[in-house]
Amino acid sequence: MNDVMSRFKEVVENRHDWIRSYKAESGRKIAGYFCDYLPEEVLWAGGLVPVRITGGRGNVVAADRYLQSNVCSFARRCFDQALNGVYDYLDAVAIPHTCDVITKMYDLWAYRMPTPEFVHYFWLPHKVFTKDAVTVMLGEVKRLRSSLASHLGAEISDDALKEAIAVYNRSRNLLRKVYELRRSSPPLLSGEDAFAVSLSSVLMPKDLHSQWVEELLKELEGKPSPLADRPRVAVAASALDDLEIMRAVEEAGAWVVADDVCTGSRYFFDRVDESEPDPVKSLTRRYLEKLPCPRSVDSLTPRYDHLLGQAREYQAGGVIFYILRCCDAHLFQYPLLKDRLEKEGLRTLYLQGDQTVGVNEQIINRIKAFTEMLST
Amino acid sequence: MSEKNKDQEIKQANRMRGKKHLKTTQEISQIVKDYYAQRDARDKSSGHKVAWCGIAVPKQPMQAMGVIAYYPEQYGTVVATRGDPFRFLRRAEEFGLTREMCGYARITTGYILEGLPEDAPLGGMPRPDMLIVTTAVCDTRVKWWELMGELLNVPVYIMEVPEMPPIGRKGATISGGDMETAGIQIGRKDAPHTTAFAGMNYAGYIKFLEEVCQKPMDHKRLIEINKSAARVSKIRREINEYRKSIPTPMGSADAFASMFPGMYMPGTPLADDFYTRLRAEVKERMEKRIGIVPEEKFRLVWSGIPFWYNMGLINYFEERNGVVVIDTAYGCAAQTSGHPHREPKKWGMNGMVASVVKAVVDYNCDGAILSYTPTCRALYVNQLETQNTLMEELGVPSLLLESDMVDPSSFNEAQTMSRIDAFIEVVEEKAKRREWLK
Repeated sequence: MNDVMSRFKEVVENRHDWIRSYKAESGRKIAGYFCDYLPEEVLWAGGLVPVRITGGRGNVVAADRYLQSNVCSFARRCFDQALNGVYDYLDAVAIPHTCDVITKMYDLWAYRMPTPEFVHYFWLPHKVFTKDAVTVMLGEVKRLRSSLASHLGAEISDDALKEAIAVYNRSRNLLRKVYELRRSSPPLLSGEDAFAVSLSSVLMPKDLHSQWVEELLKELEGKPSPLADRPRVAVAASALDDLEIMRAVEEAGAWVVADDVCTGSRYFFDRVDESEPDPVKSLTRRYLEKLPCPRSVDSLTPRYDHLLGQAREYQAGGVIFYILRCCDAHLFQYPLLKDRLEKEGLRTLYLQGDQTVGVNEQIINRIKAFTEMLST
Repeated sequence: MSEKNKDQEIKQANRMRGKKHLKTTQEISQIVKDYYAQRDARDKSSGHKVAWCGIAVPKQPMQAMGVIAYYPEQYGTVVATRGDPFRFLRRAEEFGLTREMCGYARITTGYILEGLPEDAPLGGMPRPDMLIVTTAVCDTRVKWWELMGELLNVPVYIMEVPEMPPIGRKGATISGGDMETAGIQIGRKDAPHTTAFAGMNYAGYIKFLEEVCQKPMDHKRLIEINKSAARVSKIRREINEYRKSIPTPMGSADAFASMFPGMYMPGTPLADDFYTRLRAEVKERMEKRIGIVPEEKFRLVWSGIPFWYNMGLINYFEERNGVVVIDTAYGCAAQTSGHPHREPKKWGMNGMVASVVKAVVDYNCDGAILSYTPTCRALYVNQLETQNTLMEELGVPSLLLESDMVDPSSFNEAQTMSRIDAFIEVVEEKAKRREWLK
């Protein structure tokens, strides 16, 4: 593994230690947020480093007092870690209304966690693609800006927002380039590596991350692939915050060449329009019109178009769905999405996800069987 | 499952039917049957459109437009109490809806995939011309309604209602109005755009009805229906006010049964007549101090959806001289709130928790039954927090009872009964030292 790739992986594997040290060295404040619908640029413009709150894998003990087992393991793990003090480095928390369970994260954080002082609830419409949604989303982006400014005791200017947008767009462009390295056959880098770059981008400051990505691109672009040809797949997942599934798929003998994941393509594919003079408006539009989470209304067709388009462009023969148990938004959409993709000749595999356990033997065997099927 | 096992399951379901105590509430079964038998809904030449509609969507605009509404959640309860839920649950599972998903949604999806069969309980819901749902109560329904829209190929309207938590870290104070809507707070003062958005969505709902029905809304009629519905609401609140009395003149076994006209046909003369008579009966019982059991030893709140295939469970407490006095999922609002002798420190962390805390105090209860349906996230994500808050703020014990609301195979009778028996012992002790009566 090259040096820069090992840095991305270090951030992913030791995310909390890494950000703690970074905070101590840089003196920057850290803001935690959930999901990919929160306009992080506002937090960045307020001088905070936004990092995604993630669950990782492991037991849930402390959070069992607050959340039953019918709540998705991602949320239970996140809150369990919060209760265990893992997130005590956060100076602010912002939680959007993406689904019932993430909404509950706000209640629990606001009422059961002593820190941080700033805990903000961001209401997000479901009908993201409608005209009416723009007015309410504009209001919420403005409210986030003003409540954070009042907490910080300093105004968040339009210029600061525009700068933040530029920082984030740069990151988006670079992450796209990394993902595009898998267009060739064989790909220039593995799916696990590409996803490690994307996932680490939500766990560390964008400016530093982009520097690293530029280094990586310099090393890889224009070079021949060190990898061998293999069957190629796309991964569609609900919350995916570690490398386990990508690793399992590739150890089983396939390459992951594309994804529909909120810490992957869905996070960075869409840019904010920098030609729009009002940064609040451009942020509002971007976060409403982005590649949708299935929680949004009318998200089936854009997700289908994205997955099919990616599969065609990157020559993937199958789609692996990794859906966390109890994730209603994904589970309700899955039968229709699967059906449509199969009608287009793609093969699909459904895996039930659970962050309280590792990727077990049974899952690995099913991936192996699927990969073998793709080879025939 | 073999035919024999299936028969046994159905028989067991029948044994678990609830017993109603009041005279007026005995009429409900026929009212529900008549509602499903409406010819106009099944005869396309009648000119009446049919909507499948989610609970908490305002019914009055549909009534004003002559739209006949059916409620997939309510139909789930019909299938669970009157028929064979497995037929549809199995079909949904074959389609890809797993057992961890909403039981109501699985029943309806199975019913659709079976082709809306006429031999379904009560003849089934007539084929809809439109689907309407709101984001209030839960987000899952958004996906469920979209799925039904795809399967039935009919237009869907999703009415968004921004539910906002209270400002800051303090406990929520909730108004009587919020209590009536199960603690849901729409919009917030510091976020007026969310309140405005709810208004836009209501206007969008009216426009959607006008488009599907191809006629304008009769606003004069709508105002009249709204007035009638408000009167029915007021009567229902008065009934709930009487239920505070000790002994309670009406418990939840009757209340769950009697909610149909209020929830599904609120602005109609039938609902008005039904609740007017029910109020008279409850009032008379209250004045004559006629309780549900001869000697009321303990009082309970029910939080969450009951297990519809086993409404007899609520009567079980009566065998032990206790009563489930009030429930919080279907609007337990009384006209006055608060108790002069015991104000909780805070009303819990959000509307849903607060509604249980408040019901315990207002209705002089000694404990709470928190139903826990693992397939439902929205209502049950709060239950542990409700349990914690009841104990922290009031020292009130509660019991989490786990089962799906419509899938009897998830119900473990022996285990449930032994847990209930143990809980009753705790509650009886608590009742002896009931503090808020002093």
